[in-house]
Amino acid sequence: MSPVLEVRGLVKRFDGLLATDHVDLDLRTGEIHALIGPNGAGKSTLINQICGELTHDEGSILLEGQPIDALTAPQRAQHGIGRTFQIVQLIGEASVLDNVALVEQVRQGRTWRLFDGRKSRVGLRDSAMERLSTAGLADRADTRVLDLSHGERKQVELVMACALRPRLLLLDEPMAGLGQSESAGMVTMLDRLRHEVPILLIEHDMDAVFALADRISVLVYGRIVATGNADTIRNDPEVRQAYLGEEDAA
Amino acid sequence: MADISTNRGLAPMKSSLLRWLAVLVVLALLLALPWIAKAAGSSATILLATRILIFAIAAGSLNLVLGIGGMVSFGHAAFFGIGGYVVAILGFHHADGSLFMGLVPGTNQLLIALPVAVLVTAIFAALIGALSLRTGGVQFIMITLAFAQMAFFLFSALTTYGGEDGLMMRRPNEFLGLNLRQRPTMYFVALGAAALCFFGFYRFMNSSFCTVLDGLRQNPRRMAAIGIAPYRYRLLAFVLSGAGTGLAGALMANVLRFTSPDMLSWNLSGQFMIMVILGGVGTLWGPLIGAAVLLILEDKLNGLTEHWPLILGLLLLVVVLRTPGGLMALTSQVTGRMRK
Repeated sequence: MSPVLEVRGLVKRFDGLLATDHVDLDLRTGEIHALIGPNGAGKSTLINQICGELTHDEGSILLEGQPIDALTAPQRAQHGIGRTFQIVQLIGEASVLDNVALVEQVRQGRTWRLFDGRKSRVGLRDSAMERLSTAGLADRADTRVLDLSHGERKQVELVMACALRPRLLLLDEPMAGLGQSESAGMVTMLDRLRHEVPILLIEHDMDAVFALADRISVLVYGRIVATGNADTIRNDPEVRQAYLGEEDAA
Repeated sequence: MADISTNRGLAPMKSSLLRWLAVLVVLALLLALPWIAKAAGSSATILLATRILIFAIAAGSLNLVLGIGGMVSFGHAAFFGIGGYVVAILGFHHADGSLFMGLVPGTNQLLIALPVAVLVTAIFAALIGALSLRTGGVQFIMITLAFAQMAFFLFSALTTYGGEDGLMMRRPNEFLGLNLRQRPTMYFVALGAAALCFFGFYRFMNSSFCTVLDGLRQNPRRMAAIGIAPYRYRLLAFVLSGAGTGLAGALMANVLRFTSPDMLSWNLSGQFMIMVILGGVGTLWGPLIGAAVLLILEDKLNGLTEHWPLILGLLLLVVVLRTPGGLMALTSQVTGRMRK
């Protein structure tokens, strides 16, 4: 079976600096593939190329076997690439429920109705509410996003990404800035999600990565130096030196 | 918990009922205004009220792009002026029986002139918007201003239609056998148009399209990530906004029976913006309140001192600094406090 997402020989240069250095990567059905690496290794740059915010200089990105290189970010989202951001991106002045309902609305293509009333969107709000209940956020539905805690915003963003019913999820540091119990909650959420949608996960929290990831790729200076399961990565000498070595020394 | 949930259910119903009651009272007052003004012996009030209603249509239209879409257009006077010139030019060709560009006959029928004005401004808004919306931020402000200035100088150069001196209309448009020269009649036409427009704004603000437009203002990155490319949404909003402003201009041409390049000047674009900001950006009634406050103050202060813009400027400063949501936010703060 062909992978859901395939990245082939991807190259991105910023003024001569190789931010992405001939990266090959794939994401298979039912897996969580973690992408780890030291700060500045180019993890976010890679994700932003996959979702189309950045254009790549060489190589190709395939979604279910079809090249999506020519598509813009919104088009890739329409084709089923869902994502969260390193810095949460939500509609701040709207309520949690309205944020999720908006995704339902967009997914159903109800974006050009100029004079329909609020009542026509009740159904969208119902299904949005269902999603929030499943995520344990029902009691925050009427809260304005700006009034949420950082951890809650991260959760809402994940619920929004899922409401798009994507074919795959790109998650950019979903645990960043979360407390211990919030992190644990997020791990549970992601563990449940893997059966619904494959996930490419950027994360610094090594406990979370080793707990969740079926496969791990290590990115150093824009290059993938190793890919494998948790044990392979833990014991890879190049990885230990470049990345985990710091922890051993400490 | 039970208390909170029942409160949540009742409060919005009660407040929306109150709000509609307030709207009805204001509407009743507006309907009675010509008689009130007559009793008070000031027919100038009717003209002022007519101007307020027309400017409210323009400011309300600008609010769609400025307040909801977050597009700071500094060129909306162009649409106001083009709307006015459509009426004036059609009237001009009707009066001397000639054809516009050798093709189009003129008309003095309001029911033809207004839709034509709306259509023509919509086309201009589509052209200007299509180009301007490829930019953003300060560039967008400057490019809309530049287009408006181009329109200003274009009409200033059209000597056939009065050039810099503008174009007089001997008679206002005809409308269902009414005499639009009479101030109360023109007032009611403007009131009808404003009521229709604000009902339209109300429906628009509750629409599915508006949630997308509002999302694009707040977080275009998030919207892209759920599959929304901004350009076409913003363009449609810009066209609707331009068309509404054109309608206001066409009405104003009938009130003044005179159209000049001043209707396209950047001062006027700024005035529309001040009305929106003063009244409350992105709110339904803000532009109406802003237009009313600005024009009434201008009218009253003008009688007191020639330095009235200074006082107006100070007032604007206070509103912007003290109540970021404009006068609408101030009223809802006050009424909210009263209800508690």
